[in-house]
Amino acid sequence: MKTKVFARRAAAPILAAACLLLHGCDAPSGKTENFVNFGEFSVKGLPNGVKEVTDGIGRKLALVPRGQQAPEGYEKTEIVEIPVQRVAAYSGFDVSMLKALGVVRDVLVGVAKPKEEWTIPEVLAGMESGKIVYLGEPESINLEELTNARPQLVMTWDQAIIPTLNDLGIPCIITTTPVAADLNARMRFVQFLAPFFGREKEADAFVERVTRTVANIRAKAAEAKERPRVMWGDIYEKRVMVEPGNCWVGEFIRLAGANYLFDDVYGSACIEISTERFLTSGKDADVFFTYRGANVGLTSKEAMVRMNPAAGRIKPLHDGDVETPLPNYAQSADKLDEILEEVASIVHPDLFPKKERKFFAELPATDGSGKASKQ
Amino acid sequence: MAVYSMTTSTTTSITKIWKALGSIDFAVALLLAMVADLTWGFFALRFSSNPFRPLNDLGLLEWAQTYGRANLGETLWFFLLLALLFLLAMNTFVCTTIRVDALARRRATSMPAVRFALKLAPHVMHYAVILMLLGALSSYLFTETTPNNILTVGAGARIRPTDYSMRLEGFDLAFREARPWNPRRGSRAVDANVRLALLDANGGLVREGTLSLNHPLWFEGCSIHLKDFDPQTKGGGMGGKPHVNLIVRKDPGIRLYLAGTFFFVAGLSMYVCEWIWTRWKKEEKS
Repeated sequence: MKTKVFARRAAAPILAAACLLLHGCDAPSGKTENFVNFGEFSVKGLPNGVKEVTDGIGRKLALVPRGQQAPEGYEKTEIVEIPVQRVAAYSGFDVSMLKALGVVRDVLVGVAKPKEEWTIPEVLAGMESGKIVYLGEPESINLEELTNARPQLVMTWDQAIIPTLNDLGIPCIITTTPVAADLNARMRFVQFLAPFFGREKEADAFVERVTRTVANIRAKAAEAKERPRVMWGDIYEKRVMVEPGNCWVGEFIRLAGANYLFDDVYGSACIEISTERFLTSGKDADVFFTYRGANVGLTSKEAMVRMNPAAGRIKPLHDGDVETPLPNYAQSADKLDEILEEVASIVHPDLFPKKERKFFAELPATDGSGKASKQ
Repeated sequence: MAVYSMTTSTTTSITKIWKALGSIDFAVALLLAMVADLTWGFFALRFSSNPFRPLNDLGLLEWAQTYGRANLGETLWFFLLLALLFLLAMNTFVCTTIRVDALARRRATSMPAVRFALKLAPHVMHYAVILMLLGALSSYLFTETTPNNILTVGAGARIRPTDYSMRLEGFDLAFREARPWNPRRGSRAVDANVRLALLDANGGLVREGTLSLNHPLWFEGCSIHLKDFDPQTKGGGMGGKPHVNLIVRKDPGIRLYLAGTFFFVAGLSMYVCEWIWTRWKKEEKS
């Protein structure tokens, strides 16, 4: 009885404390009036138009309007003058995000892949004209080329380059995270990059477009009578890597009306698991998306079994669909909506209209089987 | 007369609230509420991204105003947990104080000093738990953290908030033991032994030190922790130069944890003594 009386009396102060603590919490998920996060990336508004951003590993940088005094508390390489005019980028994903913002032609000055590995027309044209330079492989960046390119920002996944860039006085952001990004973070990463270039409107338009596509796919997938079983990863000679269940791939497969077979795996994108775990899931799989494609020698199911005979024990290799990425897939994040539509149509050909394949090709049974790849 | 009556009534109300706050019923209700809240948290985290990851780097107040507020769907259970923990700490404090007070009254009439001290054992442990909770709270509120000090061999970084700095001298990898049925196991690094030179503001060597996972290096009131390292396999990792990622923390809560732990162990020891003494007395009587 006493407890009841006390509980009634205590309820009001507890609620009041909660309200005080959460004052102004009526904002949508991931956003308040001056703070927004996209997974682990975040943008926080500071006075005088300055923004504080957090990159993929939790480093904070201040984005300061060009010509304005930088706030105190940041090292020289933690201050980025915006809009950024010259960028060096390591990965195809980062460059395709610049394309989504409509700035790739204007700002990109250096890349960490040779010309033969690029499929983005703006990059190819830039490398031909000499505006964009090849800086060398990520593990051995040519510092002279980098210095000559005079980037105001480097976008990279390589933490080890940070001390060197600090010595050179070049700010950088890490664009990957220790734990794989979910679908929301993947879709909205472009909004993290937008303040660097003053392209918030373009980023919002991109996110709106992808969100609409995801909503359509979700609504249609609800009609699915059966849920195919999907795996996404690859089995190499000695290692097995997969996309974990917390990754955007797993989340999308689920909402597209299928079961993702590595739902219980948690961690970074492209995470290593045991061969036994892979084969156990593979026994029941209907569709298998690989990391490798024909451009790196994976030309048929037969070729895959030749590289690792254990692969022959998974169902898609003899009675199912194996899908390999085309070379442009990894550099097409600006067309995320189209990628998602294509994945949905592969997983549920009964629900989604068949379109011309742009990002994936079905792996033929044998190299000479005559079963044409849909490239 | 009216004033006296009002004072008496206020005193009675305060006494009632005090007793209710320390009641065992309230403790049970709180614990059940915490179970329900943590179950909510389990599902909230299981089906979403994890907005709690930056909590260690940002501290509670800044995290609550940013990631906490911006992701209420996933974090509301945590704010409720904080309120419940606060009430549980209050309940523990009041309940223990009521019992210590009663014990002190009995001691005044009949109890010998040693017996009284031993009888305090469970209460010492309860106060110690509150001290540890306070330590955790002050850690989250007042710790100064500098995450992501990424160092390649020969590179240095300031040990914030001090004026000292550190330079990476090198690191050796510790590998897992290979098994006949799983030889690849032996190629995975499970730890790194990191050698640091600790320098003063002028770059002069103060001393050298080592650290590894779960074995931070203590220097000038700061702890330096190993967060990550690469490569993690024999013959190379994900590419890039070999490097370590270190976290520097200045945590004022550690003293409270240690004090809480000390008092808890003292209380436990007293409890064991009291148990032995009671058994011995019983045997003596029989």
